[in-house]
Amino acid sequence: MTTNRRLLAALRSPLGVLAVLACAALAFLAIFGPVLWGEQAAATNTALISQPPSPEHVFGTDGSGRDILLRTLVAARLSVTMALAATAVGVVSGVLVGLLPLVLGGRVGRWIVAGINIGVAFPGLLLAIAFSVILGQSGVAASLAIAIAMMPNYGRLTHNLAASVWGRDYVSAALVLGIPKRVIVFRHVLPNVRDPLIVNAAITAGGTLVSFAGLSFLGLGVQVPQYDWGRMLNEGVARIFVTPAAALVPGIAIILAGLTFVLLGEVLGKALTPEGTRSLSARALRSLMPTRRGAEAQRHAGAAGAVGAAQPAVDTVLSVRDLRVSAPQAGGTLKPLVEGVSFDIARGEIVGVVGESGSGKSLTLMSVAGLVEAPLHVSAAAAHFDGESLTLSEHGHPASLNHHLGQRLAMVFQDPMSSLNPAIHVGDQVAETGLLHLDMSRAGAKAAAIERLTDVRIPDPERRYGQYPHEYSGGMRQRAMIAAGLMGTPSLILADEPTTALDVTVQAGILELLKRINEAEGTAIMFVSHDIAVVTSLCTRVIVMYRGKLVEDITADDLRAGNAAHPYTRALMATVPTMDSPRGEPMASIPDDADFSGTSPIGVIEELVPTTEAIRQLDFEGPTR
Amino acid sequence: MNTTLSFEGVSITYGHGSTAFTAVNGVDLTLQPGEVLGLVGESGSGKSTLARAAVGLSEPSSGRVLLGDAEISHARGERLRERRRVQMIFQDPQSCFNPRRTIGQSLEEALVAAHKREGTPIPAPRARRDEVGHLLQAVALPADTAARMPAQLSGGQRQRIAVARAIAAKPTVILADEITSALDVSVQGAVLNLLQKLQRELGFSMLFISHNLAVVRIVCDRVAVMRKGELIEVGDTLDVMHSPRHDYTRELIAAVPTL
Repeated sequence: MTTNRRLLAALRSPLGVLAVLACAALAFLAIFGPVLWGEQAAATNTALISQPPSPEHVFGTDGSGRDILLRTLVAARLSVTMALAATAVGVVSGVLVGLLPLVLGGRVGRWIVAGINIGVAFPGLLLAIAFSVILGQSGVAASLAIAIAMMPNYGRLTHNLAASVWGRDYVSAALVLGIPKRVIVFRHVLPNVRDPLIVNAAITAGGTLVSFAGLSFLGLGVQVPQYDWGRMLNEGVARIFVTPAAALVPGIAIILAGLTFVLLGEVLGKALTPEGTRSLSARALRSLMPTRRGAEAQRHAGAAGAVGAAQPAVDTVLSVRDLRVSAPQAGGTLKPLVEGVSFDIARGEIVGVVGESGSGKSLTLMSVAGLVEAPLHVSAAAAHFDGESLTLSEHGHPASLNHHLGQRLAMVFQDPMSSLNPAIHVGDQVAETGLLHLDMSRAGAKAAAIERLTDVRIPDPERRYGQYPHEYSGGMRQRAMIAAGLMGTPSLILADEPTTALDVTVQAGILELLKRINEAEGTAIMFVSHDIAVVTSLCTRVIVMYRGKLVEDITADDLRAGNAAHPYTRALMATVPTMDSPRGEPMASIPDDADFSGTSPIGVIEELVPTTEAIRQLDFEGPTR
Repeated sequence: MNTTLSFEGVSITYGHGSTAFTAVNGVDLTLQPGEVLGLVGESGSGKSTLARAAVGLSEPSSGRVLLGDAEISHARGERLRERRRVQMIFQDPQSCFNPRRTIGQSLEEALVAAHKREGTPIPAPRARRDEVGHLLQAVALPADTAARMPAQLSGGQRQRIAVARAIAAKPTVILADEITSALDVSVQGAVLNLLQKLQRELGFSMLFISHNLAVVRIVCDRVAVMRKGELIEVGDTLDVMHSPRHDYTRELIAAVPTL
């Protein structure tokens, strides 16, 4: 969905409608208020001083006999425009100051950043009051003072956001192309930090409105005969016991107007947050129900019939039947990501699951681990792990299974840096399994953890126990994760691309370690990877997945012998470069639009090489021309 | 024109005093015109940092980088223009294009930059669109890809377009930094075939950074091995593969998974 469509959808929500109505009302008052009621509101009437509410004057009159309601409505223009002006000036100058260090770079840039940081250290309202006193007593001066006070915060926010975008490859590419830095900042950086700035600015406008009213209340902002809500509050508060409405009504106006901006910020924030955070809509949920009931019915039928796969054989450690994972789409439809996958893993077996990104291989593994969460939907006709029946769903495994699974199931993820807590000693994280799932004593868990760290060949484990994840190399972090899994006596290790982020030499070490654990302890391993060569070198059996379906289940020996039946499997094999691949010939690859769903031949592997004519029509004065 | 890219005693150090970290230590390396040189080593061995010094994304703390006879490290003014003849292709297909600009806009930016560098008149919008179409055809993608946003394309397609962007700048040297390591093995071949074909047709030289020796063996004429910031071995690809002199090189070769 594009940003515009998301914005429209957000504005149509109840909150969005409310925000739009409130903004429209404010805008109407700001534009037409003084025109419609300006004269009436300014008219003093000594006969009607401090009148209580009456049909002619809904909220009564103030100390000069002027209508409080009309004055409040008329004051909207000054209050709102000054607040918006202050916000605009503050945000724009803050953004510019925040971007400046990137353009200038070097020492000057660092000074600016230091200046911003010092500015942020001062409380905003204090700065605003100080500048207001310096700049003199007028609405414009107060507005400018607030803008100046706001600048450091926006400078810092912008700088932080922009600095992270500055490290992206497209900025590097633009630098290498020789695009001037000031152009890069406006073309590549600003559009990509825009959204959080807009949301913040809307919310800040609410705060600014209150600050501006505060300055006027203190007598620093708008001066007589002009009046804004703060000024009215200032005049009304002295007589609050005589005519409370004179202070309360502008006070309520300030609150309502402030809330309007905050509400607008909320709605914009929702609209501008990228996809992926959307939860299951009610409609999608309803449409899910039949499949869920179907799965239930199937399960009952299986139990009633008591034939075949109801209870797997004793030597099976994991058995999954008809696993389905789907994602809700815009418009309430469901997109199947895993479609009816069934497989068994025997005790002591190493099974590889291989496929391209989007094939559903990781989702299959994550579903077994109970780690797939809503908005995705998970169901399976039956699942058994190590003698326990599992109900696979997006709600994870029930707490009653935690103890069993904690001991018998180990997980290794792709990125060991994000699966270890950076603030806790690695050793304590390894020992945690012992404390949580195995009822070990603290000392016992530590001793066991050191033993496991030794098992996975972490050098000097006693010292390494007390180190943080960042002090470990990528390979050692992965070893520590495996050690944590080995704290119990796992009958299955679920490994999701555990070597993809590692160097080849480190990868070789991890593969060897997994193999050794498998041989020594008889632990079964389910190993997910996109690299069929890695999978084949480690596993005894290979499951091939393609677009959510299991297309082949084959022993590694058969795979190596070239006995793969499915064209996709053969295509995957053909694309792996080896040390014997012919040099100087095009490498095989699978095009994006290849379709293996039918009985297509292996010939769909194309070279995807441009024609020589296509290259020759380039305007290229390279070295050879 | 001499288009040899040479690194002369390049060292790159980050930080100061006791926290100083030497990422690259005294590397001498020459990339001959028209040659494809593989640069292998583990993460943190300094291979990317070295390449980035040739395009100004990192500055050597000692030593220099030359294109022909002109120093392009610490470049200013005229030599800065010269440095634009060295282009780089990055690893991550997720972040190599501005997500808010169309593919056509990103490629046009590179074309315009090349025209500015050469001092040739910048073509009219229609002619620029034609050039973008040619670029896309040269990486075997349909011309209407120009209207797409990066998020609508697969990782493999984005890397092909990253190749097109580098070509758009009419480079004499291309630095390809792990350009297929974030891709599925099954689409890696397409990107590499394309790059090889373009290299042969257009004659630029290429520094091909990778940690996969099987790929380096297929793509590169010569190979250089880096470890812990130092260059430990350079030689013809097949010589290095058959008779590696350094233990680490042997380890790298042994680690390539076989079917």
